[in-house]
Amino acid sequence: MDDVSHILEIRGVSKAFGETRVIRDLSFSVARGEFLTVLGSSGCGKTTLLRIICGLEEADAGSVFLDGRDVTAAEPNLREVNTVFQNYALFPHMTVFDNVAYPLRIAKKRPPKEEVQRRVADALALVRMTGYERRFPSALSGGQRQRIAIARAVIGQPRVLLLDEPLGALDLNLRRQMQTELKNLQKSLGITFIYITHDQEEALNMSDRIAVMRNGTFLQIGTPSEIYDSPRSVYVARFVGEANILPCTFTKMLDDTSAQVDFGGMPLTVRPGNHGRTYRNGDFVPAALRGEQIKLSDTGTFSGTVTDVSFAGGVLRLTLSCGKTPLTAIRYGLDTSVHPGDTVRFDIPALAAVLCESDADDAGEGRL
Amino acid sequence: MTRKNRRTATLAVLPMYLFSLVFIAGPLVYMLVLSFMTRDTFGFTDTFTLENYRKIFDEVYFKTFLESLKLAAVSTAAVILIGYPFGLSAALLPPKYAKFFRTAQMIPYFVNSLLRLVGWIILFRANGLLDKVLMALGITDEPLKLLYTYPAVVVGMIYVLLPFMFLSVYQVAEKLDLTLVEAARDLGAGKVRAFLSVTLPLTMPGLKTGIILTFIPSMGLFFIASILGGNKVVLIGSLIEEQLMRAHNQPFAAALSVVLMLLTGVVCGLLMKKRRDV
Repeated sequence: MDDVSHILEIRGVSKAFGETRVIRDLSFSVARGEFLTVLGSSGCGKTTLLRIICGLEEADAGSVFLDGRDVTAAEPNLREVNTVFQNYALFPHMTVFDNVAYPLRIAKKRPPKEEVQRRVADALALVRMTGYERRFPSALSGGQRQRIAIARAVIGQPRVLLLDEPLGALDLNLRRQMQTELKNLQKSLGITFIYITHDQEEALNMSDRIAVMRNGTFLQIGTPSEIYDSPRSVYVARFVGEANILPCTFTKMLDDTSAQVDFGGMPLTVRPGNHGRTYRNGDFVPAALRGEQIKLSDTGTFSGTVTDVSFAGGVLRLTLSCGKTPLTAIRYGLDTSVHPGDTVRFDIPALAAVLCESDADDAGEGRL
Repeated sequence: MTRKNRRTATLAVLPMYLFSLVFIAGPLVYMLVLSFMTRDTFGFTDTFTLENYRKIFDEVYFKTFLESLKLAAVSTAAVILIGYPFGLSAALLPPKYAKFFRTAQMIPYFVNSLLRLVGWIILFRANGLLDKVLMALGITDEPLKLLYTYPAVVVGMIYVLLPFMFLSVYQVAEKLDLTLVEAARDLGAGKVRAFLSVTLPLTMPGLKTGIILTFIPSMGLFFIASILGGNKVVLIGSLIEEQLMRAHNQPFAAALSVVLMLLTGVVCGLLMKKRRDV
């Protein structure tokens, strides 16, 4: 590999378990120091991908390059990749100190005792667990185990740290707090993180880039705002954040970055998206629209009937039915003027919606 | 537990305690007292003596003790070497196969152990099945005459004791969280390293139980030595039996038993002690 800015490169990796193809010809690369989140629902192949990267699973085809070295066939212990496992996998027969010191003690070049002690102390300080050295994992809470697992995984200074839904078992408050901590930790360590989750909020909060995974491939890979603002497909739009899918009919391209479609008999200016597809007049095409983009207004172009009003913290969710299309509009602050049964008018600002692909292979979720 | 529950529980286990007291603790005390008595023509008298214990150090008897310890150690070591890997790997198989192995391991034990040992005689005796097969295959030219040899006794011991090790290890290994081994590998441990630092310590309780269940009986399994070893291999168990049933020296048999119990007690104690820190 000549491009040294990539710490990890996956080329054409495939993996099947029996008849089930879990990873399908997947290729991507991760930049040095990047925080990449692989986002997908359970069974999409994300954990298998992670196991292939760390060497616990062997790919059927394709290669894995770590810092320019082909590690496809390398044993897990010979890859400078460490993993924070979903269940933390702390050694129950060892104290916190011994757990964290483990990677140093089994290393080929075992550092002297003083260095082990110093580095364990540093690692524990990093995750704010100083003072817990003599405890056993069974005497720790979920959040504390989590921190120890991270300390143990980073002490050997791996080139890439893999995290398999590390926050999945924690409660919401702790999860939010840990998100910030993980992000800061990643910045201060400068280690590349590959983070696996099914939680889109986590993905949007922490990542430099998000890869949305489904059926063993990446549907889209991009920065959180790219993914959120310009979802490439209906599935991505619905999986990341909440999206309304408008059934539209393509009219014409206005210029490179805008197109005109027909939605419910009204013209609508939308972004054509960056997936390089060309449409012809009359093509049916779905457009994704975020709920907060729907502006209620007495002079609005579109009209709909309110079917439900629900108050969720600081936001009000209005469910509208606009013709046959159900829409969810998000309004901030308390508004008691709208009630179920009311007919409201609203606007969809130009370029707010983006054209996306319908996931043709889907058996349900992605359909209109 | 509430107080009422505790009282009910106490009542429930009381018969068991009483039974143990009368039929286990009682005879033990009797045996201990007996071991300090003097033998006479018709049995024993209650004259206090240490003679029975001193006699153990007579060369003939002391050698029997050493011989028994050696056989127990050899058998236990062999059972560990065979039973541990077997139990561990059987437990790590997919559940369907694991169950098969566990059941297969137990089926022979539906038959009385004496009968099964007689089976070994058929295999081992000169011109027996084993000899015939080996000679037919051209591996050996003449009968091995394995029956009534030390190796035959060791094989018999392994045969009888192996399931205890297998099942003890299997039970603990079955609960072993394999992601821990994967974590060790991921953190830089080679296969051997991961085994020594994670798998072995985590299955150690099973191994220790297995050792206890193997070592203690192997000190006393005199019938194996009698059946497969003839009179060539005399063990402490046989010696006690002989002193009790044929020489009618009950106090000496009692003293031998007390020492045997102390010996096995010490071995168990050592194994159990370490277990507590885990």
